[in-house]
Amino acid sequence: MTSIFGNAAIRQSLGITGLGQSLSFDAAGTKALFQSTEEKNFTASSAALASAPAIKSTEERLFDAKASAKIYTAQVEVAMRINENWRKQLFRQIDSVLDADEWMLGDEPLTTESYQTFLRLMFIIQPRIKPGLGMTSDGNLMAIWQADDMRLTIYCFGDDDLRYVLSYMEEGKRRTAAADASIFNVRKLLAVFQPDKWFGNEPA
Amino acid sequence: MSQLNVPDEDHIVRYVGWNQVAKDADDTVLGISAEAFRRRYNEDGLSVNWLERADADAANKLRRTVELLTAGIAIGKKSRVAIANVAAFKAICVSRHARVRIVHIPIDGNEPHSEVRQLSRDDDEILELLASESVTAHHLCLDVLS
Repeated sequence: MTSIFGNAAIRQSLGITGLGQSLSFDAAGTKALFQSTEEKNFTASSAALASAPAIKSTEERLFDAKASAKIYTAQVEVAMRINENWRKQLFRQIDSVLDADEWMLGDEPLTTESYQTFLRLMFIIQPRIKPGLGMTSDGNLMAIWQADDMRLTIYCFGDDDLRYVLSYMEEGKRRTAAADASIFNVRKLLAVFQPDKWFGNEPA
Repeated sequence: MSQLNVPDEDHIVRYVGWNQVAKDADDTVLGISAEAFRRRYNEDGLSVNWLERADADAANKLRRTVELLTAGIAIGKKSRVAIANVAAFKAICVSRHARVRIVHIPIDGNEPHSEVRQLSRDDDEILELLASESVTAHHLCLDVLS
């Protein structure tokens, strides 16, 4: 058995420290984790981590979630055109939403499926302004954009499913809208709300 | 025994963990997200504290409330409390055809504890309205306690 995080350079580049030293995987599993940068379904958390003890502390579960998200990012960063600055920002945001010191008892760590959907959403809409991140108590990522008094929140679930919730002021009254969507039709559904005011992109 | 309604002119305080705080990509705080007002599946009501009920003088009621809300838990450095007026909170719900009740439900060690009842956890728009319109102020817990 060799540690997937045994290479100090890899650990450093992924920003993974501490608990990772206790995680280990067989060599074949390690190779499989890094062999493809275009795989849609990343299974590190469910397959490689499945061999870990059944009962884990909150810190260990948060570490696993961070590691899964960062490894998936590393896998797809070329295909999804994630540059170094954005990757660093993403890793910092992942550390922030999965910070054990801020964790609320009973909340679920970020699911790999939600993170995959989020990253694929980012690849499709390519927002110039990157979102702030939050999480639901059941482990789904929220991408939040706010421009003046207009807010857009996109909940990222598994299988590329989304739900958007937005609010804005119109003639002194706050209006809201919400709908289910997927990463493939969310731009179309949001078009009536001119989402580029949140994304910072040039209007199409 | 009938439950005491929190008066319309009073305020409720909600503990908000870091992940329910709305922020930008640099973690600059922008406000409170709708998620802060979503109760969990296993909760009958949204847990809040009745600000004016705190056993302290007027200047220290918020501090006492935060002490009660955070008793026995590790307080995150970035966790916050959000304050809302009861009348404004209920008016937003009524505007969305939801008739909520905000009732005093004392619990061990937290006498001013209250709950918002009949607030749907699935109505994203009402939760967004509550987050953006009913919150009159929000503070870092540690700032309130310092």
